[in-house]
Amino acid sequence: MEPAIEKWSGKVYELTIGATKESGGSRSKKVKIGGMSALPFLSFEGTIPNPPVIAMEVWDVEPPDWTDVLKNEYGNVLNDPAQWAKKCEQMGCDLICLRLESVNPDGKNTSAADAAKTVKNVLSATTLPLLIIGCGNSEKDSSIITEISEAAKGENCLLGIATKENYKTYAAAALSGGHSVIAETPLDINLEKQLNILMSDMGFSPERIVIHPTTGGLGYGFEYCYSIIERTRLAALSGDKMMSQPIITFVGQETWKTKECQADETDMPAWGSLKERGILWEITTSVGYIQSGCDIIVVNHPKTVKEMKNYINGLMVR
Amino acid sequence: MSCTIKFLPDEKEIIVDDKTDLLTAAIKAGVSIYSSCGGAGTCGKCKVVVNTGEVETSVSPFVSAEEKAKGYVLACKSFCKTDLEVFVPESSRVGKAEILMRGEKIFIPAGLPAVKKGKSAFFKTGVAVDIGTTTVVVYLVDLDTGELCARAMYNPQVSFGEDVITRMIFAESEDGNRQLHQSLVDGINELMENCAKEKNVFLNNINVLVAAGNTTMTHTLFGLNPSYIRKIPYLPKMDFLPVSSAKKSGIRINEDGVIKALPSVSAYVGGDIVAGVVACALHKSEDLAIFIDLGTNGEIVFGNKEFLVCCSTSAGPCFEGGGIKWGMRAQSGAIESLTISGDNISFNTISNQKPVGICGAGIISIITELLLNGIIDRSGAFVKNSSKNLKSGEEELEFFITDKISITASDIKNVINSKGAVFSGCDVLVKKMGFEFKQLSQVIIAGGLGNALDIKKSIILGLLPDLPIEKFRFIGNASVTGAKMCLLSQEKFNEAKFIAETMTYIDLSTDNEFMNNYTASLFLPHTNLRLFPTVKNIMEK
Repeated sequence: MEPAIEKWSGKVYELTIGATKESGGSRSKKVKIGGMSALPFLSFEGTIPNPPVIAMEVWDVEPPDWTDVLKNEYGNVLNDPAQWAKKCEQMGCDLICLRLESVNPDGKNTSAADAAKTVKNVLSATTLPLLIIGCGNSEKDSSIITEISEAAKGENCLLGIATKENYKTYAAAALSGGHSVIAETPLDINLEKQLNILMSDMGFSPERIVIHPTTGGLGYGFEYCYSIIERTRLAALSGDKMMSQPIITFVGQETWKTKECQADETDMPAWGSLKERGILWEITTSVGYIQSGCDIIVVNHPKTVKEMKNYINGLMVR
Repeated sequence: MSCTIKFLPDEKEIIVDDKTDLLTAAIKAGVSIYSSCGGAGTCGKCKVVVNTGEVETSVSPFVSAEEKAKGYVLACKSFCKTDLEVFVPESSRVGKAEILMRGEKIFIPAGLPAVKKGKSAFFKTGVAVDIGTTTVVVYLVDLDTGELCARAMYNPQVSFGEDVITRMIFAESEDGNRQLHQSLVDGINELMENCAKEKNVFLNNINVLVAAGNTTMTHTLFGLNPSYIRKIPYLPKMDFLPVSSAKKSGIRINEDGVIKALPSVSAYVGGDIVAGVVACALHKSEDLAIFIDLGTNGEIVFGNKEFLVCCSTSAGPCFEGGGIKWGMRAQSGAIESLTISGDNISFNTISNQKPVGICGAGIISIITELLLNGIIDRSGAFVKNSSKNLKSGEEELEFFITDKISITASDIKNVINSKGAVFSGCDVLVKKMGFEFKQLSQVIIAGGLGNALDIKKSIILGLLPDLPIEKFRFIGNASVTGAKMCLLSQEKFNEAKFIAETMTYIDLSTDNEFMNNYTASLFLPHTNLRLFPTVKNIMEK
């Protein structure tokens, strides 16, 4: 009897992040994502040239709401994005995700020039390729992104986060600086595809987009996120070019704000050690998203990085 | 305390107490005032001017300071303190005289099977009525010669709310149901009298009236309270209504005459759709066809002589000109088609009159042209600096067709929501039965969008499936045609009953497939361009 093996007609776009000296940048390596013609880790269906990768977050201000479990891992580098990035590199991640929280009008409200300076500092402190995202305020983010793109010109970064409201500015900025873009929509495959179409209609290459489907943490609508990501990937493998982009999720951001990662042991004795709980939650969520088809996970705890590396390597060998 | 209120320009007077708001007083006096919200004070459409006298009124965001100084108040939120003289401005008046009676084409669609003279058991003259949520159309029919006289007006119930839901809520209020019934009957009587006068017919010699309307309208014609239709489990009191007597229902034909209504299928697929199926003979078709009624509710019927399935999409009134800044019914002066080349705009209006607004066909034409000229992107958002005619309006970007008339960003959004609902309704219905669009032999479209409906542009917009143009047929007001056929032939009436009994209703509001499909269709023409191969070719050019 012949085993029934799915044969796919399409494949995910392969995207390179980071530029080495030869390609006009200053990174020590390039990171490639996507390119597969099979469902996650089902290598018998097709080829999987690149494993999923792990990025760690670096903020340009000390994160006000982080739990001690996280803060203790970083010690005194939390005020210094350059040192922080260096530390992350030592912790073994593939990419640095620089979050420019300081520009937030509700916080420090720093200028585009300040943010650009931070970007340059971080670029010289680490040799890893960079993801650079704004503060989440759509208007402010689009007002700084051109300058950010210019500051990182030639480094082939992944810029975020473009939405339906500001994608035009993002696409133009990324084009001029030679970067790729994270495109975010509410969790819906049609909306994902619509934003990709809008961006390509204005001349931005669909091969330079990474989909952020807006996901939740484990226990907070994870199943729905899983099935949307899976459907996105199935569409890519069936040949839909406007759904063939790699996918990113911000696991750390969604994990550490949950009550499961924050509740004190005295309040919730049955939940066990607070220190282990958060890490377990982040790892479990990461495993879920990697299995659903994510190509980049952005996490916060070094132990997650280590465990996920092992996990991914194990699956890739098989 | 009682006061006398005189309404201008109708010169109608009424005496009311100080607990009666001006809107209610106006309705009692027989003055029709717009009120989408049914007197809740939330739509701002019932503005009137108090010329003399004093009123007690509450502050409303709809009345500007400037207007307030001129004496404007919301009729539904104002009460008399003294005798009053109130002027109803043009914008608040329900236009009765100048409505959609344009050309026979809307009413007698070409290519419909001729009605065989069945064994009509009735007398010499009869009346066929289409009761729409927005308009009422009356046909006076000579049962021997078929000679016609037609009249139409805005549904007088508009004073109690623009959509059926608001009217159902109104029906729950004290005396509300009676008022809905009474105003509708008065409207029908008025239209009949006008017809009768013109044709020298005595209403007393008329013995039968056949009405086709949506389920809510049919209820109110018979005086039944429709309010349960909007409550779980959304069931009408009756789908099949027994024959009623003219005397009992207040219709002023011979008092022994009969009033018959075409049966409904469900709460949201009514006798008007059954009439439409009778009119286009979908139930006798050898081949698969789809019938789309682009009224306020976008009902769809799919099938052939072997089966019929139907659904109702909450498309909204934009194809009838509702919910659009400059939208209007298909009547004189409505822009019904438009072309753009560069910064030049050329358009046609109905009867070549001075443009006063945009009808459904015009709205479809405009948005398609905007898309093809790159003034909006595929999500319907305006592209900045893409045209000289694109300017900031009062609240948002607007594309100006004339100095005054424009289409706004939210108009376009409304239309995309509507066309998305209609298209995905069709898509889900056809797929549910295991078919594809290309298997359809015909797409029949009914509704009052205007005669100039451009099929090609409707496909580019993503409203209609991408099929060869010769498969489409536009038949205008199919509801009144069906009612007329059932008036002339008992055989047709029996067919209508059979259709209503056997048609399967599919509820889209609980259908996952529909929701998924709906978000995909909120794009121009659709997120999945493979569904629109010819549009893909046009766009690539």
